[in-house]
Amino acid sequence: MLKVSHLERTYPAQPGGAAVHALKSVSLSVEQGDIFSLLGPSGCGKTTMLQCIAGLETPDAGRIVIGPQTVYSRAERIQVSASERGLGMVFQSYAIWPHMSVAENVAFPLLQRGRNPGREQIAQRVDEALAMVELAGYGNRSATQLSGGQQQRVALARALVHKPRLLLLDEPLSNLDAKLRDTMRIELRQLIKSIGITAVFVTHDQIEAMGISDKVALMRGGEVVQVGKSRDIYLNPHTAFAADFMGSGNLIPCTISDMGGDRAVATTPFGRIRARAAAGLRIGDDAVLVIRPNAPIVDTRPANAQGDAAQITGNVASVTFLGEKIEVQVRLPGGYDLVTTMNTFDAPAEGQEIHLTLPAERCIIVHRDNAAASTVRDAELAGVAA
Amino acid sequence: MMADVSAEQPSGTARWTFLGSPRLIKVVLLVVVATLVLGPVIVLLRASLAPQDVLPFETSVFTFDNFRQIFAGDDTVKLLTTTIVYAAGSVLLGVGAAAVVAWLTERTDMPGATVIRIFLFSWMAVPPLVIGFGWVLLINPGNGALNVFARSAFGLTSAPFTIYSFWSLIIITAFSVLPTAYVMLGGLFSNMDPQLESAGHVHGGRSFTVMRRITLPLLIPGILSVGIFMVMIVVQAFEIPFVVGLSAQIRVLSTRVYLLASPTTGIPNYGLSSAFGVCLLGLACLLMWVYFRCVGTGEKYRVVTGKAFRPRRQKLGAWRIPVTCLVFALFGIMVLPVLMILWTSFTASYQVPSLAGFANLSLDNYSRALASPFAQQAIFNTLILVLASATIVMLLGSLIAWFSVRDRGPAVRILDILAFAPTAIPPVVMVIAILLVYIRTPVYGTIWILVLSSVTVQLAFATRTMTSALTQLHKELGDAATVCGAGWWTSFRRITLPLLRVQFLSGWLFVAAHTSRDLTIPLVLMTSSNVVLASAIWMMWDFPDLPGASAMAVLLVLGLLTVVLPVQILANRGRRGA
Repeated sequence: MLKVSHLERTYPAQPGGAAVHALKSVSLSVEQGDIFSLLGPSGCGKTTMLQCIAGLETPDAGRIVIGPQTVYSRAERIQVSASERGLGMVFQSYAIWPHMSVAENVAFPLLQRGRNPGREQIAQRVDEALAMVELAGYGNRSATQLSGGQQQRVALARALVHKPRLLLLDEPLSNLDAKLRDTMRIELRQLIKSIGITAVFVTHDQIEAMGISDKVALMRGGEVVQVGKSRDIYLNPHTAFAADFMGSGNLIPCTISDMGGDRAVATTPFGRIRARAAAGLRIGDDAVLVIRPNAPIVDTRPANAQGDAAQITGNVASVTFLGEKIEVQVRLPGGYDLVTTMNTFDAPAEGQEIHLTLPAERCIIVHRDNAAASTVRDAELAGVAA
Repeated sequence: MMADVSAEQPSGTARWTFLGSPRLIKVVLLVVVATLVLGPVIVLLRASLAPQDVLPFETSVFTFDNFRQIFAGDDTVKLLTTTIVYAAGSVLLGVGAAAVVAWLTERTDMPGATVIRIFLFSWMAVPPLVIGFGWVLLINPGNGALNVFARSAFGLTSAPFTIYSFWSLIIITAFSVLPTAYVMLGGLFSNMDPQLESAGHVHGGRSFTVMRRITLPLLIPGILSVGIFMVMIVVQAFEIPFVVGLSAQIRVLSTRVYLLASPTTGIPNYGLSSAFGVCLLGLACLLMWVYFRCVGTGEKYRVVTGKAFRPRRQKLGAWRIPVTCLVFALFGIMVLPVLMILWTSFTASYQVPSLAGFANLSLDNYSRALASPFAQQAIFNTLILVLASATIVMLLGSLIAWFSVRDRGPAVRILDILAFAPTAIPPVVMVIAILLVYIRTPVYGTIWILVLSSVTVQLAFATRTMTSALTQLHKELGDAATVCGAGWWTSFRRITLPLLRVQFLSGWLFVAAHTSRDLTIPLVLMTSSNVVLASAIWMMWDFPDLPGASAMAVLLVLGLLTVVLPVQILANRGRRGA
């Protein structure tokens, strides 16, 4: 449905700053009917990407194809303007026009590009769209009288009323309060799925991305780091960045000392741990061992290590109460503090000895990030974002 | 669902859509603005290098004679010193008084603050021309009303006041600086974050200490930049030095430029006038540079933020009544010349106000003025001038503002600079340059050359107003329309302009008020067919028909007040509500 290939975008240097390479030969492919998320920290290029797809930003090179139509191609000198692309978009600020009523806002797309389907047809389609977002009967209200959640629904109705071929959403949930965000996320997914429209969703929130999308493209410094279902990225990250950004985890620097099949042995400050290894790692590589906080099986008594599992013993350094769960910091041999989560009702005492079982399939060894290079890049992009 | 898609796709582009493409509009704007602004400047430079008695296009000779003549004598040095002392003196007085009044109305519990605010904001309805005439009637040594009163009250033999002195000129100008400076300073005072002062109080500072050590130092950059801006305005100002200063033989650069181009006797000396114009332009540019340097350092303090604060108000205590009386006395003096004009407009021939005179007052002057074809023509021309130039310049300013905020490219940078340039070009210089450009074209002598000049002179203001309004408008509001399928022009017309309607309207009113009260442009470009109210008032005054001129002046002020006053009262109410 949407194919982006080798997209490049560099922002020219502003006075007193360097040029910023916001998109570095990015390629993506979105299937018909999928909800596709662009996820990454601020300044990673995800919004630039969305703006390029919408036509609000012109890339320097590459190609964008929506359905059967090439909307941008540097090589073929094609550039379809944003107003001719037939898309729907929900903006971060909702961009509800305050000088128009709700119905006028929603009717706007139906009246563009020389169309005028007639008063009745317009009224009917506006009503349908408003009913779809559960705002039936709100048509005559002034857009400024709406709450944040309602404004967002109007924005959604406006983006869908002209039946666009692609729906773009730019951090649509970031301006809502936490509770509302959770409900809207679920509603949004159900609505998009029920219409069957293809959607591209930009967010910096991994929970939002995981909850709403069929597929996630994780971006960093103008590049796509990893694409896949959110579960796949969570369980099989390629790099320390992907592991850290999708979920949280203990990232332990290590060296690979042995390999066999998809398993490898990592030498860490607190001993040798068997784990799965990301593709491309070799014996002797400096890598990162990822242990998710919920991966260790915690026991107060020594347990029998079976087969593929490692067994470590440590002391509880601190316990943080978080409601449904507690976060326990375990001081391991070699001075390393490992964070793990436990059931609130099983809270250990501080200083207590505790035994962790680490099954190999729950741990993964990933590539180190090129820390030096990425720090420079992040600083540059942060500069542009500001 | 997806079957709908093909039906929704554009069937083909309409034939005229290319006219709405932003690139074409950008090019047209660039050409229009360059013609408006660069044309006159180039002709002015050319004329200053041409022999004195010919028009710039009629010669191919380049000569420095004009500049040589300017810098040969002591006259020029004297002219420059007079101009600078005049500007600095009136700004010192005017901005100082404005700062005190602004502090009193915004930061103390002085009663009547709202009335003062509305009064000063509406003062732009009173043309400087009218104030000048009013003061002449009040304090001329012969039969000035105040002099007559003082003589009979104290038995003096000589007049205590005179309009024909440097000091009178400075004080009268200071009164005209005060309202503008107040408008600029008011926001500065009321938007200052009160937490900065609260922090001083909490850490043990007493009221006076906090004011001296915290409030004042924080505000000084702002007051300074307003002061320099006002010096720039006064150096460029023409009307008051023209009405008040010329009879007193006090010449400043702006009146000198005018007199050389439109002498009362002899032929115009465009060459020398242009050369003086170039000097005045240079001085204005220098001041502009100083202004930007100061504003740059003022940015460091950043006391004015976007947030609306409720600043802490100082209690005046025992000072409350005397201070209030003093401020209202000041405004009483400001209103005096207007009252004088009002009185004169009801008299058959000029006479000093007296109780006995009330019996002879009549509306004859008004009926006489309104009946004459000359006045009718002037009113009609004024309406065309005001409506056309305010609308054109605000639309032009909005378009330029859109490009300078949303589209950043080298062409837009040039557009930006061109649109800003008229700020540094004194109106009297600009108008003489425009005269030189169009004197041989059919536009000269029509009302449209006045429209063209007003648009050029007000372009910088319109662009600045709309630029600051547009920067506050979220970019996504326009983007949303574009993604919905709206073309550039539709998006500008249906979304951007309606959302900026308040700023557009207030900018429109400002331009309308300033265009209708301005004398510089109509006077320089005056022919028998393009007389407007301001130039009609001047002609009748010069004739002399003082009652007739006064009646026309009152009509102009009333017309302006009916537009300006309701808006200011509404704006003030909105301010309360916010």
